[in-house]
Amino acid sequence: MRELAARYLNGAATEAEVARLSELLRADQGAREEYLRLADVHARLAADTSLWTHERPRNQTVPRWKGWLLPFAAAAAVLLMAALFWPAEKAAPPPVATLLRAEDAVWAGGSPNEGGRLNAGPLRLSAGRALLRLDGGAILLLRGAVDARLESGGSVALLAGEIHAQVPEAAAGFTLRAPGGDVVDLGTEFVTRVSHESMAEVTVVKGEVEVRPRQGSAQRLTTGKALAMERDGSVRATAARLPVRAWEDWEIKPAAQRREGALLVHDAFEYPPGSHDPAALNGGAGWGGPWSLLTDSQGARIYSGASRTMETGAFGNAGAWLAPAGKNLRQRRLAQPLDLAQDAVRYASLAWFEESLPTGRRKPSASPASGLSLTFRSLEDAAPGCVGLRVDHLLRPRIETGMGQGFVSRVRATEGRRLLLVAKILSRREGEDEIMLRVFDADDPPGAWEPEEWDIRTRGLRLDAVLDHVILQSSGPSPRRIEEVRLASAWLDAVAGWSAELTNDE
Amino acid sequence: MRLFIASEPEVLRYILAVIPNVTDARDVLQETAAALWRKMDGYDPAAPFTPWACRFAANEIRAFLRREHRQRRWLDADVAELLRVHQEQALQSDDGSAEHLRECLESLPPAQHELLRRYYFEEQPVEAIARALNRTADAVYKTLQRSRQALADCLKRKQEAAA
Repeated sequence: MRELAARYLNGAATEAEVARLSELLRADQGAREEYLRLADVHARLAADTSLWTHERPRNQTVPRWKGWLLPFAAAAAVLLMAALFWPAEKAAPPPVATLLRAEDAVWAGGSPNEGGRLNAGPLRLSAGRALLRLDGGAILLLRGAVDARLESGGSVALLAGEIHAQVPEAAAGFTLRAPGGDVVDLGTEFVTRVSHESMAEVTVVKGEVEVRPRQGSAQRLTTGKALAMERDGSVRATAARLPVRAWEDWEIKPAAQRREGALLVHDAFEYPPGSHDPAALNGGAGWGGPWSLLTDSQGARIYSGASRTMETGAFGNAGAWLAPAGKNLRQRRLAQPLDLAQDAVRYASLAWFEESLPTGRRKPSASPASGLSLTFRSLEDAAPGCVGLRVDHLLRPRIETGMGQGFVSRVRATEGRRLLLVAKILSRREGEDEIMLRVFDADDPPGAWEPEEWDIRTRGLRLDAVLDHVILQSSGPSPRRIEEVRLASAWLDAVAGWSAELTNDE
Repeated sequence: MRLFIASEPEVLRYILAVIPNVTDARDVLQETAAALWRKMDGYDPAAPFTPWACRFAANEIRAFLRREHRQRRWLDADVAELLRVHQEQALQSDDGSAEHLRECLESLPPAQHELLRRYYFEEQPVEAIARALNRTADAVYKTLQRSRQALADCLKRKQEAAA
């Protein structure tokens, strides 16, 4: 019996074995009790994610951000295959969305990182709000309590609660599946609510959707119109349920939404104007010491440029390090190293003013090593590595990882203006690490949440380095005004407060 | 709604005991949720929610087994009914077995724990686990079986000790 039960639970029993197991269980109460003891262990191991998300004492780490997500074999094709063949091969659940923001969010079963990727599978928010972007482009606002299931980059099942979807034209076709029927987006913004009152209530805020009830024919629904799919299967027009202002909150007042503790490291170079020994510049937060000239892991000096001092100045309300023309390198130790072996999301930013050069001075033939870079680097031999985030001599965004891996963008930043370089560093304990980078300016300022498109992103990157230093390098034919460097755990804290214009005269 | 979210893992567990395949069990769970909304008016807030929800799950399990009957992959529907009696008794009593199972899991050898984690938490296919751990698929199935048996025995010991 045990053998049969085990094979059944493994999904490996033959037809004859299943029939034999049924027979045994039918005949004998003792067998049923024995079967359920085993089956319940199987069921608990599969259903109770908290068993796996509490770390074991003996350093057997469990990916924490995955804990809340019980992965789910998603693709319809796979389900079909599973129905046709047995035993079914489960597909590993792919990531299908990015968590953009979470406010007071209480997740049933754990808590994903902001900026982190969400795998296909259950998504259960008990309280608070969460904003996520499906890979297909639809942006979803969830207000707890919500019980949903991410099915793919273009489809979500809503079991209970309310989802407010904003769907750019490119993402039209996004489908929200509710117990009462499907809502297919035709390029719009809509709210769907599932509750004990109705099997799905749809309000179109803007644009058009097609509602496909489980029973009955599909209907088009336009701006301001609402429809309820009832428990008895009927469909009726209903009063529009306009979205709560939650959305605007995040879009309009992003600066007010910064979070305590999310800004991990920063220096805005707010020092008295003048010429300083780097060792005297110890401002900002999150550092393990002042600025210094470069050293190697043995502490030996490395050439850091002609100047051994750091000039600082004030421009409008902002301070800056004035890096002269030529090569300038300075380093600073982090209080908390950036550990790329962990599951984490970090945003790094660098704000500066890029001087216009006379025509012809940005020579493609010049060394691409010149330009401006923010590098996270390890001085420990145990876990060496580096992540270089920069613009090169032609103002092309680049990512370099020091292992011979370089990624260069085709776009170019614009000179003669303030620029903000922002990078997202998505490190994983297991699997590929990802780094994305984008340069913003007055024509293209950073938004309230991370962009869908980046100038450049890495592929096939696997880093396990522990990066304990920051290196700032400015080199090339022009001086630069370097205004701020930041490292944050949330998008907004890396970009908030940056302005394309000076608040005072130049 | 909150009630359902809170009891969803329990309801899923109830379904998984009869329909061990996670994908199929989640489909049944989704059908259960839909059925619940239709009958939410009938819920007495003074009564515990999970047993009430599991009654719906039992209906959906029956519907599923009937639908899939021809495939002969699943226990017969009448056997599921017999099992249900035992399952409902178990639902009545919170015997602290969740905590016990956690302790039992901790006491497994690390290699077994790691294999269970890959199978149940990360939902890696058996073939992938076999490749990653450099074993045969058969050996992985055997380890799953042995580990579950060890956990069931450990749970039983703890329950007897507690009683």
